[in-house]
Amino acid sequence: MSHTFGTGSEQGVLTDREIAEDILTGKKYISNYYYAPAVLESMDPKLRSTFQQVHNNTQSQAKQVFDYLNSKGWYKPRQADAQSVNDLRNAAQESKQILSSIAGEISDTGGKSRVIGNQNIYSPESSSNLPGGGWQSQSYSQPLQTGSAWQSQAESQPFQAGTGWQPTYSQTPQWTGTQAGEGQSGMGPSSLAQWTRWGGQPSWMQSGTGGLHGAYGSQGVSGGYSGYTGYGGYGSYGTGAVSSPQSFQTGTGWQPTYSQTPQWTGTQAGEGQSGMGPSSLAQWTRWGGQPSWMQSQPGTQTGQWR
Amino acid sequence: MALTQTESWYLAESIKGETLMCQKLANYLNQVQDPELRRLVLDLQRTCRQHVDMLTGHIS
Repeated sequence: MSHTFGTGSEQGVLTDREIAEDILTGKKYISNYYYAPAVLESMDPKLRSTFQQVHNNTQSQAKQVFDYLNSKGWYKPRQADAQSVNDLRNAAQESKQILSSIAGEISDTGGKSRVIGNQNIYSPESSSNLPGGGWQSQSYSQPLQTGSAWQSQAESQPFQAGTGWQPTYSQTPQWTGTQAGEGQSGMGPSSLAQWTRWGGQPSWMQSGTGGLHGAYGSQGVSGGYSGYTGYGGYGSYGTGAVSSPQSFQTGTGWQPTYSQTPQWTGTQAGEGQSGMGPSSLAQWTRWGGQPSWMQSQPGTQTGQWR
Repeated sequence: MALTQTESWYLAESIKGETLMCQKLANYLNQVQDPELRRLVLDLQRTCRQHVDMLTGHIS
């Protein structure tokens, strides 16, 4: 039996190149599909730390195997062509312009939100009109909170990080984790590509700046889906049946509070993992059932994830 | 702290994955020709075992 280092292989015998490629594939797989979500789904800090450490090790090992393949000339990633780079620059520029316009609108309104629309989207008739899901609504004057979920709270409250369940001042627990799959929690759609799965663009992307669009909602009372109207309307997109301001809403990140506003605080389909709660309703059975607040009447002080 | 069902699932899958990787690496050691790759595989195998130990340590 003869071996070759790189090219060609006998039946049933792997070359060094094939072995290295297989190892790299295995490392990528276990890192992406096991450790990355495991870190985000772990509630126990020690276990989370272990998953994080193993994840880091695995990524480091993958790099070593890649370096080996690359040094042998067996894995040479292609350079992006000029057109792709140009498209990338344009996309980056477009993003900067969008962010710039948002900043301008914030200053234009002096931080005061405007609410449009009187539609009670909690009603069964109107809730079916909500596409996508996940854009946080806010009907009160609030600074845009970055680095966290699109959060809305009726009163100024410190952002509570660390878990998926985030009670507000009203003691209402709020799931801020992800939906199925990948992604970061609490950040809304984790990529532009995901927006299509969210039901399309938010309205502010479809219109000029300063326009009031995309606010599905009432005047911010009793859970109206009012968009981030002060900023030209971060449309409050949502899915799922919503029957009342206090009722639990399934399948989306919209979380009603007992106060006023529904809150999207998680991501939608796909990636990520966040927090420590179930990432979808389907997962609840694996998590041991409903949180206690779902079994209680609105207004009662529950909300501890147990 | 008792494991949640999700944690338990990821632990089980991770341990199985690392164990399988260890088995593959042991097999590959018999096939690898390049000394550099052999050293790499040995190193990976050692780390793989450590991972299994770390992960199984969370199972009481």
